[in-house]
Amino acid sequence: KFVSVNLNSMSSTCQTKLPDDPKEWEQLTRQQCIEILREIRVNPVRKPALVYFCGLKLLNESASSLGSEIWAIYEQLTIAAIDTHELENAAYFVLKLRSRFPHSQRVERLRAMIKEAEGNFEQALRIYRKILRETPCDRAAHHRIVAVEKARGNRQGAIELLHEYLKVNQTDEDSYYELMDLYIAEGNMRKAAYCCEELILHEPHNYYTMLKYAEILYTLGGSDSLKLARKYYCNSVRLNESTANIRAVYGLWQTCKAIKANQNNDKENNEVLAWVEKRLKALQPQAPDVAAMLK
Amino acid sequence: KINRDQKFHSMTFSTTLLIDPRIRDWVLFPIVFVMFLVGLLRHYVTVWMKSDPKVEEKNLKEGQILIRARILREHANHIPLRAVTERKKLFCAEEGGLLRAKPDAPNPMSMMMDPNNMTEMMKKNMMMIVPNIGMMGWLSFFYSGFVIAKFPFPLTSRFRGMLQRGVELQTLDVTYVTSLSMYFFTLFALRGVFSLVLGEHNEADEAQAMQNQMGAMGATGQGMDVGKAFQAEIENMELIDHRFALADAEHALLAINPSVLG
Repeated sequence: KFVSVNLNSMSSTCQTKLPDDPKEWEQLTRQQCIEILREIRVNPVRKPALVYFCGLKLLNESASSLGSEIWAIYEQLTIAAIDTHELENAAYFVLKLRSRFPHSQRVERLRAMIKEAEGNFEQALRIYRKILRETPCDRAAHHRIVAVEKARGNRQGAIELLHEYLKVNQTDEDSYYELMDLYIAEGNMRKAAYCCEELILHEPHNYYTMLKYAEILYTLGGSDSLKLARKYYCNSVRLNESTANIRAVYGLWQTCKAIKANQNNDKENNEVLAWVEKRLKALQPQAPDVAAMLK
Repeated sequence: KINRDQKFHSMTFSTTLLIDPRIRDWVLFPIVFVMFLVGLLRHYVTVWMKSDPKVEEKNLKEGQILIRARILREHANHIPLRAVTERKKLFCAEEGGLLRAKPDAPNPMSMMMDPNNMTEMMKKNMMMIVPNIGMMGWLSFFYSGFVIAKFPFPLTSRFRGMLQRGVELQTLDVTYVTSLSMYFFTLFALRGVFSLVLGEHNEADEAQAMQNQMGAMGATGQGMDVGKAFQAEIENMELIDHRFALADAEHALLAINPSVLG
């Protein structure tokens, strides 16, 4: 599975139902485990330990009564096992899946992911390329190949692969997000900004995308860029005023200070700066370190 | 539908027929039972025969370009003007613009000749026609020439030809029907049963399948004309009127009370 930040659910509705504290997990009933796994299938979040625990509990206690849902659970378990590096168990789950779905590309992909986790990148790539020969437009296989290159440290290769992929699949949001991250890691802010603009076009009211764009603009520097960054920071704060978005307030503060260093008497800038300082004081209980920087 | 008690409320000009209960046992129930089984069979065979849709890379690319152009038009106001201009050039540039690429001229004949499409259509048609013809043949062979049931709702005599095929009596009440008409009636009635047994979107649903076919023909007929769609998008691009949505972002921020956390 291509794992990216779930852009839509920074404040995901499913968080309320998923028990994060491992101490609570012992008390989960069978029905609760089933519902948790279903919820994660519908609203994907990456919680491998929880999935692994629930899945194993269900398998050990009541495998036969799960019916055909067990195959979806096996798939989830495989990925969770890969994440928690329980590779022998992962191989076992894949074996069960393969016995039920012998010609499935989805199962092949899981097999290849296990190879990736073991470090056998060449074998993994071979499997992905085989999948692509049969279905040239398979999104997940393309993504996994990029992930392999990234894991090998071959960022340039990953970037080129994503470019090729995006020439055909021009509206794949996740890919643009990944490409943006790669460009940021490479330090190529211009191109990262381009990718981020695509993301904004897809989701114009997503506070996190605004935040990322503002950060890229701030890094680019230069007075035009900084002024634009300030606008995007303001927008991000407006879209999410909660304490979860203190990052935007902090960024706004830095941007205003940078602008002030060049133009001390920009009235608007000073107003925003004053606003930010008040906000940081209000946030002091939640974020004492940031507020302390004000001094 | 078997009306042994009909004599108490018959209409003035009709005769009440007493239908042999053996007809119920050996005709009515078997027809319904067999149709149900045939429907189930059709569903599972169709599912078994279904192949994954093969995506043509070129068609995929063209479709994606159109979607991307549309998204740009819709949300251009949220990115800076420089970015919008850059993308307009990407799409509409005289040399190598994405929307200037000449897609293949849509040819309805080539669409039909496309081997993948052909086999899909053939399979669908087979699964619809063969059971139908089979059932109707079986019914006409074994079960023609007599009435098997009385529909409980009144009908005009226009239906006589359809519902009483094989029974050449002009005076018989039209509500008495032959097995063939029972077949059509049950066909539609079983849709509800199939959706209970097989879940929604099942393959035994004929009326649905016919509707889907109509819809598919209409959609592909239009979507094939990518060249015209590209032209239209190029014109739409010219019309983009960029008003930066974040022009007043600072004012919007200042309107929020900083001491009240959202």
